[in-house]
Formats: sequence, C-alpha cells, structure tokens
Amino acid sequence: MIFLVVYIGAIAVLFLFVVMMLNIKLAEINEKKYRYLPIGGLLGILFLFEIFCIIDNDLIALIDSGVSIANSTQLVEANSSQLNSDLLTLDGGIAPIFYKNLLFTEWSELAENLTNIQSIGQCIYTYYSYFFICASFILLVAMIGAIVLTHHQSVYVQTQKELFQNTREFSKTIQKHKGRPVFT
Amino acid sequence: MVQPFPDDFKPVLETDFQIFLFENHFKTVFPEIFCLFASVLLLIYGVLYARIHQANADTLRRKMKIFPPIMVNHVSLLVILAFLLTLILMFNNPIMHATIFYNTLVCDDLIFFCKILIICSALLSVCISLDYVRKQALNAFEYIILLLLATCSMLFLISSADMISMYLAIELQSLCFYVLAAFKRNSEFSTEAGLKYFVLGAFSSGVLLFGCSLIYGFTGITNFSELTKIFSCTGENQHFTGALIGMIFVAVGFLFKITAVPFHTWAPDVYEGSPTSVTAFFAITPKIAILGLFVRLFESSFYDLNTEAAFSLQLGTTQGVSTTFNKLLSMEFTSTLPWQKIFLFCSIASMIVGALGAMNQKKIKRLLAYSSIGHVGYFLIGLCCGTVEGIQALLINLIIYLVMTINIFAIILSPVRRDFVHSVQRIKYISDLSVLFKTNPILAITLAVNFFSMAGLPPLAGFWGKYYLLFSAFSCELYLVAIVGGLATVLSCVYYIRLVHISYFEKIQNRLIFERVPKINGWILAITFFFILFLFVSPGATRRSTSITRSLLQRIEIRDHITDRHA
Amino acid sequence: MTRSSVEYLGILIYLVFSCALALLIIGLSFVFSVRKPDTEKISAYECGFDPFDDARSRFDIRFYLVAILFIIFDLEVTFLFPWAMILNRISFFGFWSMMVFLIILTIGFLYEWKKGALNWS
Repeated sequence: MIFLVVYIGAIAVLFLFVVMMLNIKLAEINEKKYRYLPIGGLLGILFLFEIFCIIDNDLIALIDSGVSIANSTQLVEANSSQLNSDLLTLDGGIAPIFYKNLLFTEWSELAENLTNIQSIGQCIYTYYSYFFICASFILLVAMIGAIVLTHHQSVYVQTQKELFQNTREFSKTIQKHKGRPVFT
Repeated sequence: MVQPFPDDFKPVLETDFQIFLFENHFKTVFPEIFCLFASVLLLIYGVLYARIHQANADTLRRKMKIFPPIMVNHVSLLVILAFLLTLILMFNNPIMHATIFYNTLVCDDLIFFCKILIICSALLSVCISLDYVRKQALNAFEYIILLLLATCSMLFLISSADMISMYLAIELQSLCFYVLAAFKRNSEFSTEAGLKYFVLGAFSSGVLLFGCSLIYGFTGITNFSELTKIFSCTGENQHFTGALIGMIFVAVGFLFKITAVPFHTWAPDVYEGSPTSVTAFFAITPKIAILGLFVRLFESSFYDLNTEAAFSLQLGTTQGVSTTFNKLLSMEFTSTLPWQKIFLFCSIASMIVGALGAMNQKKIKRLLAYSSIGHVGYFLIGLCCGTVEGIQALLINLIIYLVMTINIFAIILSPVRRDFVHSVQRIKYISDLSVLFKTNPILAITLAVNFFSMAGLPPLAGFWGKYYLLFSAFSCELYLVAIVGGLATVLSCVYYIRLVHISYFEKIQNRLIFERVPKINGWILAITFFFILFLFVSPGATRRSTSITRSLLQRIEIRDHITDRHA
Repeated sequence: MTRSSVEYLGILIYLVFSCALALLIIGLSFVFSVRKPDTEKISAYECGFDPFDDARSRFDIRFYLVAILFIIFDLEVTFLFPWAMILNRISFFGFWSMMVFLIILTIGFLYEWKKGALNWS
C-alpha cells in the first residue's frame, strides 16, 4: 500500500514534472544516443559480472515441505476430505492446520497476531525511534531545500495581510493626521 | 539494555512501555540534540524575522527605502555560538563510552576525536566565510541553517553503529550539501554544480545502499560490531562472496563521496561551481566524517572479510618470485586483504591523478579540488595499512590537512577588488594571485608557507603528516604505495610552488587588489600559519591520540582474541 | 510447482494479464488504423505558417514545488499509519516519539507558510 501511495502517487508524478520541465529535443538525443554506449556498456557488463559472481547454488531456498497455513488451496486438494474442507471454510478465529491428515490448532497465533504494519510500528516508534527522528530531519531538509531552490516570490504582487484586515477598527479607518504618514 | 521489572509484576500479553526507554541515552547525545535544537530554533527565528522580498505593496515603504532585515550575518553569528556551545558540551559530556539507542549509535574515544575535528572545521569554515557571504549577496539565512544541519548529520554519521543509521546520516548530510552547492540561484555555475553533485550523490547513495542490502542479505546483520564477530570467524570453508561484493559496493559508494579516484570526476566541477564558502566546507568536513567512518568500518567490521580464494593465496605465495620489483608487487597485491586492495588501488590512483590533474589548471578552485583529491590519496594510504600506526597517521594527517585547507580558504575568501573588470569580484584565476607580494606581503608569506607545507617540504606541517604516513606504510610492507606517494609529492610540488612563484615573481596581469582582511579571517590565518610553521617544534603533540589508539588497540585486541590471531 | 511458489502465482497471472491488456490496447490501434501520412497532414498547425518554435512552453516551476511539498507531507502521513495501529501497545514512549516527529514537520510547515510557498503567485 505504501508503495502505491508513495511511488505512484508522488514519485511518478515528480518524474513526469521533471520530464516536462526539461527541454527535450528528440533530434538532439538521437544524434548523441550511441556516444556513451561503449563505456556505459562496459560498466554495465562489470556490474553484471559481479552479480554472476554471487549467484550460486547457495542462493536457492530449500523446498518447503511441511506445515503451511490453512488458506493454501493446494493443501485442500491434497487432503480432500469433507470434514477438512468444512473446517477450512469456517470463519471466526479457528486456524486449523493440516499435517499428514492430522488436525491441530496453532494457539500462539490465536493469542497474539500482529499484522505486518503493526509489527513495523512496534519497532520503529520505540526501539528504533532514532531512525524515525532522523527521517523527520531528512524530510525537513527536503522542505527547506525545495523552497530555497525553487521558490520565487515576485516582488510587485499585492499580498493580503489578513491579520490587519481582520483587526481593523471601523471607526479608525479614516483619520486626519498631520506630518509623516503612519503605517497601519 | 535490560530494564528492571516493576515490583508489582503483572503478567501482561502486551509489552509495557511505561518504563521510559533510552533514559541515559539522551544524556549521551546531548551535544547533538543541542545542535539539532539550535538549528530548528534558528530556522524559526530566521523565517519569522527575515523578509527579503517583501518590498510589499506598500509603495510608500519602498519609497522611503525601509528594507526588511536580511538575517544571514546575524544567524551566522548565532550558529558560531551554537558550534562553540556544542564543543563545550561535548568536552564536558559525562558519558564518554556508550552504545546507545538499541545498538544504533556508539560513543568512544575515536568518535569523540572525530566529532571535535568536525565541529572545529565547521566552525572555522563559517568564521572565514562571514564576509564572503555578505559580499556575494547569498542573502538567504537558510544557507547557514543547512550548514548547521549538515554538521549535525556528520556528528551522527561518525557515531553510527548500524548500517541503517549510517545510511540515514549520509542521506541527511548529502541532501544539505546538494542544496548548498546550488545555493546561488542566479549563477549557472552554481546550478550546474548542484545538479552534478545531486546526480552523482544520489547514484553513490544508491550504490551504498545496494551494498548494505547485499551484506544484510548474505549475513542477516546490519550492526557493525556484529559484522566484526561474524567475519572474524573466517575459516577456509567459509563462503563470503556475497558479503564481499556488498563490501565492495559500500566502499565504492563512500569513495564517491570522498572524491577518490576513479570516482572523482565530479569534484572539480562541483568545487568550482559552488560558492567558495561552501567549497571550503565541502573540502574538509565530509572527508573527516567519512574517513572516520572508514576507520570504524574497514579496520574493524570488514577487516577479516576474506574469500576462500584470497585466503589460499596468502599462505605462501611468494615462492618462486625472483626480482625485487615482482616481489614488491606480488606481496602487495596478494598478501593484502580484499578491502586493502580496493583502497590501495584508489590511493595510488588518487595520488597520481591529484598530482597530474592540477598541473594544467588555470582556475584556483579547480586546482584546490585536484589537490584535495591528492590528499585523499594520502589519507587512504594510512587507512589501508591496517595497523594502529596507520590509523594514527591518518588522524594526524587529518588535523594537518584541516589546518592547511582552512588557511588557504581563508586567503581565498578575503575581500578583493578588481578595478578594470567589474563582473567578477572575487578570486577566480591563478593569475589573480599575481603581485600579492607587493599588495599584501603578509598574506603572500602566509600563502607561501601554506603551499610549501601542502607540497610537503620540511620542516613545515605537511611534511610531518607525510612522514608519519610513509613510515607506517613502510612498516606494513606496502612499498609500492609508499614509493608512489613520494613520487606524487614531488609531482605536486610543481603546481604548489608555481602558485608561490606567481604571487611573488609574476608580472601584473589581471589586477586584483586584496582589500583589508577582516578581523576574524586575520585571526584564523595567524593561528593556522603559526601551527604550520612551528609544528616541527613538537610534532608528537599531534599524537595526542594516545587515548584514541588505546581504544583502537582494545578493539583490535578483542578481534584478535576472537580469531586467535597474533598480530 | 513448490508450495511456497504457489503464493506468487497470483502475481504472475496479474502481471501477464496487465501486460497483455496494455499491449492489446496499444497494439490494436497500430493494427486497425489507416495511416497514409502526408507532409501537409502531419505538420503542426500554426495559422498557416511553418512552425516557429517547439510547441512546448517553459514549464512553471511552481508545479514542481507543490508536488515536492505534497510528497513530503504524504510521507508524513505514511509514517502515521502504523503508529495509529499500534498505539495501544507503545504507550507513552511511542506517542512522544511521534509527537517529536510531528513537531519537527510542523516547524517545516511553519517555515513554508511564512516563506509564502503556500501562495500560488
């Protein structure tokens, strides 16, 4: 969910803005397209070579052969008895598990079950709160940076000063003064 | 980290956080918290009172020429105060050795030393650039706030004990730097510098993160001390190829940020395009932070990371190698650990490129960029020795480099006046330094001594730095890199002494007059000048790192104890 | 097919289906359209004249600033989601750590407000 919200909702939009902002002329790109191909290709092949160094037989996970959570449909097919499938479709907290045609319940999961998001939250706001506060400072710097670099306040624009407008006293709007003008 | 249970122990299923976590840990990081708090407070202060563009619809106000306050100088002085207070807080911190915040941050002597260096260099960089900022109309107070935040992030970076906290601190620092590099909005140079720095910095952060994720994927650990323990148990049957590749990526990511060769190509452009005060900050402080982090990462965590292939090569390969030169090379490249190989290559290349690249430069900031690339090469010699001597040499060199660079930037940031060309009112070209001897002889002698020291001439400070470095390299049998270091020093003499020659003997070209040096610049110039000149009286004074090396010795002893290795 | 890889079957089907649908939508227009290009037909219209310049005008940077500010507060909300779910377990410490986070971002918000970044002009 976070990926959807953050990446598509914001980063893809930012990408789009940057692309719109750059003055891209296709003709210019096409004539320089193959200029950096040799060295870029070399570096790319170097990276690939490093990855091939790592890929090993150790990386393939061991085949899972045993207990699985009950909503795996394959188990239902494998152990197709009516009693089992009845129990599977029941709702309301029962978590039956099948293992070689034996039925048992995982009690620890009934007592305490945290979702993914909850378990992240339990760590990030307490034990790893330093990371969290650091992230807040990064966001603050991003805000400051964006405004410093791109904010342009045009000088000759009439801005509203809402505070003065709201607190103006009607009886004092027209006054007679002698001498220097007064700023209100 | 075990918190005591309360007396009325009630069996609860939920974890109870009524006991306040991390109570003493906030006391340990109190200087950094003060720094962050100061930055936030000064940000609010600045934004509430600084109104640069508000000429307002009040045409009357504009006609009477009442201009709103530009707060840069004001906030700069407050930031200097904040730095001084942080320094005082750091010296008086009651807790000096601790692992805090659930093993994500750590404090010990080496970290304390590096933090002091970072704050001093940031403080001096701000002090010497006060006048420059005013003259160049960098009229946004956020400049100094970002500098303060960057310094805070470097304090956190140096004390990080976990890969995640290291990455977060690097990102915070890099973000501040991207904005600082592009700060002058109306200058194309500055925008180009910011863009280049951003693209390369983001790429290097990505590479760094990829390395961290590979290490985590292959070991399941992000904590530095846990990584030490896991890599120390290398036997002949261990496969750590994945973690090795991860370590390479981490090293590459950081070498980008420290402008080592072959990842240095962004440095001259960025150093030249940024405003000079920002360049002064760039040239010193991140290097201190990242080199300190290197000492903790590569002398402690990745120290024993060794692949099976490399391991077998180390056991008796020097048989059958006849000539001395072959022996030198083969010993250097076969009997070194993997991380040493990376830094050896980068060090040799940095010294050579730093020496050769600056020969043809006509602009002073590019020349200083190449000279700093060369200096990074020297630092990396100290790093790849792998002994306590090497680390000591690195730290001594950092102090001396700090002093020399502050000196040269204090000279470059002095106010100048150009009579015939009004567009560029600052030092840009090398030939701007001509006839300095006549216009400001004291500045000329300071410059001369500084450049002689950078070139490594005895008995000035730079020589002592290189002395310690090359001797520690020799004692680790890294002969090739020491020889290249000496040769590169000779090569770099050319352009340093050429600058002195220009300031003393050249005919008048673009007439640039150095105006009266501001008081604070003058003080800093004087102090650094005397440090450079008189270090030979007691060079061992820079070896105040006895307590630091003691803590390093402790860590290395623990590591050796685990592996039963005899150093 | 191993049992653990069965869990990812849904993603594979989704991927194949979405790629097929997208390619179908794009590809059909190539297959079924009638294209007889002519120099006059495909040139840009500029009141009868040849086009003076590229039609794309300079993009205003205010849009970008708005997008950046949006993403920053969006990330703040993203951090708020897990906190809201777990607040009963992280009693005071978790609450105050989030309050510190929010205070820092509120200071950023105050900064933006005072700078006038929230005004359009």
